[in-house]
Amino acid sequence: MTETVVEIRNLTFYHSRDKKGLKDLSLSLEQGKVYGLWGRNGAGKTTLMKLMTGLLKPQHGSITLFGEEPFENRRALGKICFIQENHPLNPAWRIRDVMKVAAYFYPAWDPEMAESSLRAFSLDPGKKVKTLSKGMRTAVALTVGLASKAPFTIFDEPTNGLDAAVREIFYNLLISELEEGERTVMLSTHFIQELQAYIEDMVVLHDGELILHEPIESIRERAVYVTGRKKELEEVISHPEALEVKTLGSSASVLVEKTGEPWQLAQKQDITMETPSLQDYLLRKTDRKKEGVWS
Amino acid sequence: MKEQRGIWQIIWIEMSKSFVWFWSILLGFIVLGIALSMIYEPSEVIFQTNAAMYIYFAVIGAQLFKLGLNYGSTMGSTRHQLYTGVVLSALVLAAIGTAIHSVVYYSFGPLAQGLTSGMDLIHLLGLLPVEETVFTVILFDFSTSLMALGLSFAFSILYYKYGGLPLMIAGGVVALSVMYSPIRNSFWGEIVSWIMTGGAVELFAIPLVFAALAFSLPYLLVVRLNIYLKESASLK
Repeated sequence: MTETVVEIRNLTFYHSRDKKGLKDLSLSLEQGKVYGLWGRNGAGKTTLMKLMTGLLKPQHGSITLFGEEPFENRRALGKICFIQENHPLNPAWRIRDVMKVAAYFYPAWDPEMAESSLRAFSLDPGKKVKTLSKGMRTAVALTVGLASKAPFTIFDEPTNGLDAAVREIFYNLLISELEEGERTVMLSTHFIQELQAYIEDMVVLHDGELILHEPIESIRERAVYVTGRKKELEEVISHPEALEVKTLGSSASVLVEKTGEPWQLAQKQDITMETPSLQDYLLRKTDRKKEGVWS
Repeated sequence: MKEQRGIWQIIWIEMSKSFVWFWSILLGFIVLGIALSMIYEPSEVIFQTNAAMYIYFAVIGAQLFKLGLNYGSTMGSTRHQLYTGVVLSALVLAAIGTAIHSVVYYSFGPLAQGLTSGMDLIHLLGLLPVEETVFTVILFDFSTSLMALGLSFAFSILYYKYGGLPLMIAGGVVALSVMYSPIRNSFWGEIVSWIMTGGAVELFAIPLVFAALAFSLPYLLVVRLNIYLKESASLK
C-alpha cells in the first residue's frame, strides 16, 4: 500500500489584509511520486510550500507530514527539505561550510552524494558563496536538496538561473536519486514544459484554490485546440467555457476541455484538432484569453 | 542537540571572522598607543578596552537571531531549536570574548606600563566600588557582555516581529526621560548612584538577571513566529 506523505485538509491561510493566500485546500501526496506544483504569481504556491515545511502555521484546517503536524515538530521537519528559490545561503560561507551546516540538520544527509553532486556541477567546495553566480548558488542549494536524502523534498523553481547544461546535470542527478523510488519530490515551477518529463502528478493552484490534482498524462489529454470555419464554430467561440479563441480571417481556433460542452458542440462540425502544450493549457485554464490573434 | 550545534556553526562561521576583525583592530590601537607613548612620552595615556567589547557584543547580539533564523529555519530547525541554539551560542561567545579580553588586558596592561612611562590600560571595574581582581574582572566582563548580547538580541526579535517604529518610540521615551530633569534626577540618578555605591551583587548579578530576562522573554514570541511570511526568501 502506498504511504501518504502529506495530508492536507481544508487548509486556509490568509496573508494580512489583502486576503491573498490559500482557501480551504485539501490535498494528499503519496510516497515515491514526483509532483509538479504550478500556478501563476500569487496563486498560493509559496504559501503552500511554507505551510508544508512548518515555516507558517495554518490558520484553519490541518497539514500532516508522515502523520505529524510540521509546525514546530522536529520529527516531521527532519523528514523534509525545502529548497527555496534564491535559497538563503550566507555569502560569507564557503561551499564546504554550506554542506557542513546542512549535515547537522538533515538526519539522512549523504556526504558522498553532496561531494559527487558538487563535482557534477563543477563547484569548488573552497569557493565562497559571495563569489558564485546566481546559477552556481542555485546549484549549491540543489546539492543540499539532493544530498539531504529527505523523504519529502521540495524544490521551488529549481532550474531558475541555470543554463541548459547545468539543468541537464540536475535532471540526471534527480533521476538517479528517484530511481530508488522512496523519495517524494515536489517541483514548483512557472515553466512546466521542461520539467514535465520528470513529473508524474500535477498540482495546480489558482487564486489560492486547488483547481487540478491529476496525473500529468491525463492533464495533457484534457484539452484540445479545435480549428475550423469561424461561422461553424460560432457557438463554441461564444461559449463561456471556451478557454481561448484565436481567429484569422474566416478561420478560428478554440481551446476547449474535452469534458465540457464546447467540445461536444465542436465535434459536430468539420474541425481539425491539435493538442496544446501543457504550459498553454494551464495558462489558459487560469486566465481565459477569449480573443486573440492567431499566431 | 545536533541542530543546536548546527545553529552554533551558522553563528560561529560568521562570528569567527568578526572576532578576528574586532580584536585585530583593538590590539592594533593598543599597539599603536604603546608605540606613540614610547615615542612622544606623554605624562598620561589611558586605554579602556572592555567598554569597546560591550559595545561590540551589543552589535553582534542583534545579528544572532537573524543568522539563526535565516539559515537555521530554512534547514528545518524548529523555532525552539534555533532559539536555544542562539542562546547557547551567545553564552559561548560571551565566554570566548571574556577570555580574549582577559588575555589582552592582563598581558598588554603590564606591557604598556613596562614599555612606557605614562600609558595604562584600565578596566571599568576600577571606577566602581568593587575590588578589581582577575575573578571580578572576568565575572564583570562576562555578565556585562552577556547582558549586551541579550538586550540587543531581544530588540532584534522585536524589530523582526513589529518593525522599527515601536523601538523608535521606546527609544524616544527613554531619551525624553533622560532630558526631563525631574525623571532624570529621580529615576536615572538613582540608578547611577545605586550602581556606583552598590556591591558585588548589584554589579554582577543584575546584568545576569537582565541577560536572563532578555534571553528568555522573547521565547514565547519566537515559538509562534510565522517565518518568511513575506514572499522573499532572504530576510531583510
